[in-house]
Amino acid sequence: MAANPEFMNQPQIGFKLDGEEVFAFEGETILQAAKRHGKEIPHLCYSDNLRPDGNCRACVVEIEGERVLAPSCCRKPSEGMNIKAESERAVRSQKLVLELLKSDMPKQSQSPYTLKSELDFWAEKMDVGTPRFKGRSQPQADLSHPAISVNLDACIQCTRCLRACREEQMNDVIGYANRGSHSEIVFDIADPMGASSCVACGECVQACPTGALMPAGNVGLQEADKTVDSTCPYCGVGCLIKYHVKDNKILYTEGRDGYTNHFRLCVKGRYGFNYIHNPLRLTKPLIRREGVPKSTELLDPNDLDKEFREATWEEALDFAANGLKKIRDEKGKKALAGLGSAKGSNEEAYLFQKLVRIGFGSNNVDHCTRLCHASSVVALLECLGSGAVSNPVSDVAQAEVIIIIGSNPTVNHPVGATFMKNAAKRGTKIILMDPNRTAIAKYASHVLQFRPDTDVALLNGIMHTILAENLQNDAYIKQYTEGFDQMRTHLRNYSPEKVAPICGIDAETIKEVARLYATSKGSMILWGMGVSQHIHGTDNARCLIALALMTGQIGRPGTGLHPLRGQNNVQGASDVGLIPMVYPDYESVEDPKFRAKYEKLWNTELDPKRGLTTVEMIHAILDGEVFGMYIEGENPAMSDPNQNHARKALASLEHLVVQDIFLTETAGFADVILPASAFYEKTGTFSNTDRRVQMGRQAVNPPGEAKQDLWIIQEIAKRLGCDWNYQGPEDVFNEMRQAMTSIAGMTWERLENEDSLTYPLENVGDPGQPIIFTDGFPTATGRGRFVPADFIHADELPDNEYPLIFITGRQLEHWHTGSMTRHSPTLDAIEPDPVVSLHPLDLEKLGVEPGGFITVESRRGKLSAYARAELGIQKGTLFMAFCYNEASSNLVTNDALDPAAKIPEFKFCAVKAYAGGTPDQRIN
Amino acid sequence: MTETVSTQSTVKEITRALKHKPGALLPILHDIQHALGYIPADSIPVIASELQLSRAEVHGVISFYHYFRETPPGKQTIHLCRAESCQAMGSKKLEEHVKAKLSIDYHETTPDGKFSLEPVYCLGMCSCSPSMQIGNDVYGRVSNESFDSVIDEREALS
Repeated sequence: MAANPEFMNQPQIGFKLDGEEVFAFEGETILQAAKRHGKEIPHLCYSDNLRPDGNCRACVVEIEGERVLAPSCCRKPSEGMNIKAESERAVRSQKLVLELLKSDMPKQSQSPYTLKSELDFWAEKMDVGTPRFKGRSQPQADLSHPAISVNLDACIQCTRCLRACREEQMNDVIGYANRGSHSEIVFDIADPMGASSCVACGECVQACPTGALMPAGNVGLQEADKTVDSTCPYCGVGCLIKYHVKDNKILYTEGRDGYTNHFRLCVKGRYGFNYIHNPLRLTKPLIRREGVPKSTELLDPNDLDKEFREATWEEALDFAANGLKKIRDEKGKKALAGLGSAKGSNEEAYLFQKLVRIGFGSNNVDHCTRLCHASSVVALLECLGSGAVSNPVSDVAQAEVIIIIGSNPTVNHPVGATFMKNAAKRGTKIILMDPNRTAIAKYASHVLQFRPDTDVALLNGIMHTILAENLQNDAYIKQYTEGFDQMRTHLRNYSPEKVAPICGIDAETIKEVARLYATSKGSMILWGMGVSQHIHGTDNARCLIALALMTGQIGRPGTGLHPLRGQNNVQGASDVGLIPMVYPDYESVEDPKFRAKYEKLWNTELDPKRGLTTVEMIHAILDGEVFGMYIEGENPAMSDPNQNHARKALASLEHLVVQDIFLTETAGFADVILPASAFYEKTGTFSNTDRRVQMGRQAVNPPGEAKQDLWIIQEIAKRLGCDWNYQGPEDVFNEMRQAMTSIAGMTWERLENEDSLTYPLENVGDPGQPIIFTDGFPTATGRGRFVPADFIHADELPDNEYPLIFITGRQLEHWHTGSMTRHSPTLDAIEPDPVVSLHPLDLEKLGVEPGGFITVESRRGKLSAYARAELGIQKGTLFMAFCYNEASSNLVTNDALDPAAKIPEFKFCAVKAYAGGTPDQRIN
Repeated sequence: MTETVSTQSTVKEITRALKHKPGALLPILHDIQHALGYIPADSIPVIASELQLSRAEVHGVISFYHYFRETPPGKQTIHLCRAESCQAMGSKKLEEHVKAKLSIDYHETTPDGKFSLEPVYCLGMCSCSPSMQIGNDVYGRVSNESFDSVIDEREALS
């Protein structure tokens, strides 16, 4: 087995190990080479993916001609070296280290916190008995953190946790304090872990060899029935995870060596799985009681029995389908609409859009991509002919310059962010552009905290500089682009001096950033919702694309454009056509050629007109055009802007079918609720932000009578006249391959074996292409297009009555509308209450103490929450996550849309704020 | 409140003045202790953020060196040497006397705030053992009697 694949192509060095002729690849240590040859030398402070530290000395070996023993984890062999790992002297020393460390353990015995203590393993293997030495005085347990138990009485001070925290994840919480026999592992300034700045990524827990750091609740003392290799249900990074399962429950998780995570995880992926075991899970189909009217208020779960009754699956499915059928047959095909989910698998999303297109008979199908990267995708399709990311996140390691704009990666793509921080440590320059100074700013060489809403001005200013200083890549522009002259003319109006007062960034900084980006060997742009969620979201993305095109910073490793995807399968759900204007592979529904293709494949007639988008559906309900909806795993009653309006619309639907795992805010408006399966309860493929299709495997069974979504969608489809008989995800995937050139060569077997494959993968056996656009673009002309964008303002600007700017987003511990994370006892304990963040000086001006109540009010609605002082928030703005139903930020947001992408302006609306108020009752 | 603010501004001033020096952390800690007599806990986040270090790293360095204090000292700090040479010349006896005279143990301050007592491991005055240091003054061949007279004199002064 190869211990260290990165060394495999290096020259070999021959040496002797315990009398045997062996070799090491250049760069390998003695320990690594020995391991590759099947010989395990005891070790504790060494771990494969951490920097060797050589502090425990359990791995010492004897080297001929050297006076002292050498730590094999740090020492590299040289040609002809004669090394003895099993000589009497070496073994005596190894055993003494183990015995001394064991004498530090509680009761000088086996670790009381884990069944997998590496110290116990080696002590037993090396036959180390009861230690002869006196024990030490032991520190108290620290159980202050909801996710992690700290029992430093089992700590051997190997500092693996410290290296994991500081060097791998770079969260910089763990330290090593005091000296001599008083030395100890500390969190920040020797704070209790729960009170420290720990972000609970749990990398230290995974690194700890003795159980001193463990997941809370003593799960380490239970033997799992099985382990399941799968992926993560949260963000688009798509970390691969191993789930340890016992009695149909997930005990704990472990990061696997996935391409995107290399063993790393974040708090949500590692500890946020337990929402599936929440007793509030839906376990039986529910039908609205006859004669109980819908209200526009959220349903109080205590009133569930008054409004709904339990039903059998047969009855609920018939009721759900008949209601939809009645509307379709009486009011026409366009009177129905469907919202699918970016949380479901590719197979579920594919079947859902197919159901709407055939069973409902229209293209009225959409999902939350409309609320996140719709504008990025529109701009990418328009300029480059493909909505996909050009380079994987891991390319940050090869970039010289990284622009992070409108993205808070340490919160929303935490594992991706660790690789950005690692790159910065190695010298890559991070240029952060964001109205908020987010945590990654600590690693940035330039922080441009520009005024909200002024992205286009800023980016045009940067491009103006590039042209003014002749830094553009003329050869690239000539060979691969079109529309440059028009762009050049357009940019004349945007000198840095002119845009500086607009965006609040001085002209010199704009110029410096322009030079850095344009002249580096590799510059990469990563962006998030801060770019996309504006009425000029498409314009923002057009500017980023133009920036990459004019400098030729695309199509090579360490360059390119990467809109960081939010949901674990928002890339996949879009790819398979869960969008009103396109079929799978982004083939336009309005193009007769593609319509004919799908009419043939699906053996049906299809609607030639594009359908309604998410927010348009809500308007159409109130306009009397849509009467029935099927909502699978989406939560528009929380996620849509201007919620009072959205909730009124949902309440006025004639027939609403909701399929979900909890009684979501949306489910309260339903006529029938179908209990569905969570991520861990089904098998399917999920496409991450790098275009990697990854295998998610079932770890546990759905609770009660809850069913897998693929089955439910199919049962509804059958009742709407679709003659389907898919036996499982594999059948659906194989049909997807017939429809989609991009994955035509991707076989289910290969996914089963390799877990993760990147498309485009057109022919069986292809390696897949992590980097695309290496030779032009998939447009009609093969060239990338410059599309000039003029600076416009947000839809609703602050005025005397509403003087502040309200920006919404996410928090590390909570996912989107909170339907998963707020049902996870661990995550909910870390971040339990709704908070609005403001600059401390703004708080002072409003007369609100941090931790006091604050009320935020716009023309559309208001909310009250706890105030939090954050220096990174720009003065005059407020920031809030949208996961709290007791203080739902989308009551306040504006539903104005980007004209091209129909994405709402979640990132900007005018509000006033004042002290006082209390949050509403939280609905669980 | 005012005191905290002025302490914080001293910390900021010192940190900003020295942060560009190579290996700036130790000089900064020395200057803060010199100016304030100790390194207040709330100065750690300031130093950490200015030097792009973690709070844990700064705490690690402060806690490694016994000379750095994290609590305010008395008006005068007595450093009593406990190293080998002084011990050979009877510093243990002197130590007992000092503790009894001041009614405090090591790392403590007299209730009137006049004296703090700290052990030190070698002042480089082995030829004049046992020795001690108060402020910038070093004393050799300290006996119980000479200690008392130094303390009485200094007490009268303070």
